[in-house]
Amino acid sequence: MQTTVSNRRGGLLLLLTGVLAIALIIIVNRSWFSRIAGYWRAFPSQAAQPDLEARKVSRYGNAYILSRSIALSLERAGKKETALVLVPPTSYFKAKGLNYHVPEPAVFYYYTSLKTVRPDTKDTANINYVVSVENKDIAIRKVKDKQQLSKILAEYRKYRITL
Amino acid sequence: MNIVALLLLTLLQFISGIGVLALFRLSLRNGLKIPLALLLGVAVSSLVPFLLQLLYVPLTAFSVFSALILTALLLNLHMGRTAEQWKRMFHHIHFTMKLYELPFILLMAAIVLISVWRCYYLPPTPRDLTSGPEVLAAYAVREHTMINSVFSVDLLSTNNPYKPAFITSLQIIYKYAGFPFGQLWLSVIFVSFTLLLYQLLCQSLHRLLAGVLLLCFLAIPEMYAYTFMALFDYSNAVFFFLSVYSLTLYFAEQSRSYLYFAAWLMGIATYIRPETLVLAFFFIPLLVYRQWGRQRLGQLAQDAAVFGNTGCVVICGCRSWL
Repeated sequence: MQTTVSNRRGGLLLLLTGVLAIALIIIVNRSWFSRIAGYWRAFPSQAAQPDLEARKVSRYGNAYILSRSIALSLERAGKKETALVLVPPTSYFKAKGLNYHVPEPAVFYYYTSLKTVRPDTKDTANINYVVSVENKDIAIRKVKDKQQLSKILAEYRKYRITL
Repeated sequence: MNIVALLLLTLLQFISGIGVLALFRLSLRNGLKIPLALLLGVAVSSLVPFLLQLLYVPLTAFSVFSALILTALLLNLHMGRTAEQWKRMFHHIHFTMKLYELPFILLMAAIVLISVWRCYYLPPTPRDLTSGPEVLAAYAVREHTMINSVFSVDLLSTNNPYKPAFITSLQIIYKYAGFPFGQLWLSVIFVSFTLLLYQLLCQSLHRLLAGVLLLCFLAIPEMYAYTFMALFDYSNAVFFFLSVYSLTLYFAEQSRSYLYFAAWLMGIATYIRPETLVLAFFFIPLLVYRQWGRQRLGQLAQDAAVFGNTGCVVICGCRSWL
């Protein structure tokens, strides 16, 4: 009987110690824990949004939305399958007042199934479309000739290419 | 969430894992055996689509899942040994929990749940993944081959498609199982490893202290982030740890099963990240130091070769992919 009581007391004491230890760990790792709490708070709104496309949009942001819109316009024109699009670097869009982080070709392909190249590509011969900014809006132009493409490439290569 | 598919796939991996434990003649108690079998099952299944690709078998849902079932059966072919593993497991099922463990378990369950949810819900973000294994897996599902149209894209900015097939293979399996973003294999690794670590800590520490230490481990921001950010690092760390732990068991028990098991696990860690081979060789002086005097020189050299060369074999195997 006495052993059971002391066991119970010991158990309660350990429970209290455990709770205190948890509190201490949380205090010491406050920034980590507040991030976890943030994830926890986001759960209901995320659970209410099961749509795959919406999840991608909220996770990837502008990089995904604008890449998709480029691909969509070529798809509507029935040119997506055969297009190789030259996309200027992020710094170009920034200079033109657009917040568009340009995904590298492999990621662009993952987002949209559209083949793109950066201005530093070696494969310039097959480029048949070019993305540019006109009146603060994204425009897609067909490449007319090699001369025009060389001019555009020279202009785009002035901008810093980052990942 | 396609819970049934996830459970069936996990069960399949568990059966494969038990088969691996039986092959190495390892006899462990349930607390260790169950999470370890799950981890081994994930490792084995990560090799399956890769091997199918090497054999030029089209990667369809049918071929991938048939190969997974076949692998589980083949690994359990030695009925005598596997039956013993299963019998021992079902004979010793008992679950005890002290009241003071409850706050730790509840908090850790919440932390684990968040990680699993993020793996399931959010699309893969790291550039290393989206420009490599993930895009390869996404197009492998569409085109039924890992050597797909991704390689026709300008890859000047990335070498990620040429990284080990570990993540690509697992992403293919989980995408076919009905998870468009894959990634849940990482949750299986995370949950199993957390359980295993807790059991190992409980072996030599008071459960309260084990809970404190495990919570401190989970609170390492980078380590926790890697549990829902599908990359090579977390899985590599887990299999590297298991290998080194198995090596320490070899030193203590002097049973060669543990050495072979450690070498196999190091091979898996090397398959996930080839540079692990360098770390494997760092352990050879320790192996020689600990076994010096206990073994003849020839046997010692054999041990070192077994431990170091498994990684080399893996690297040579993976070179065929490139």
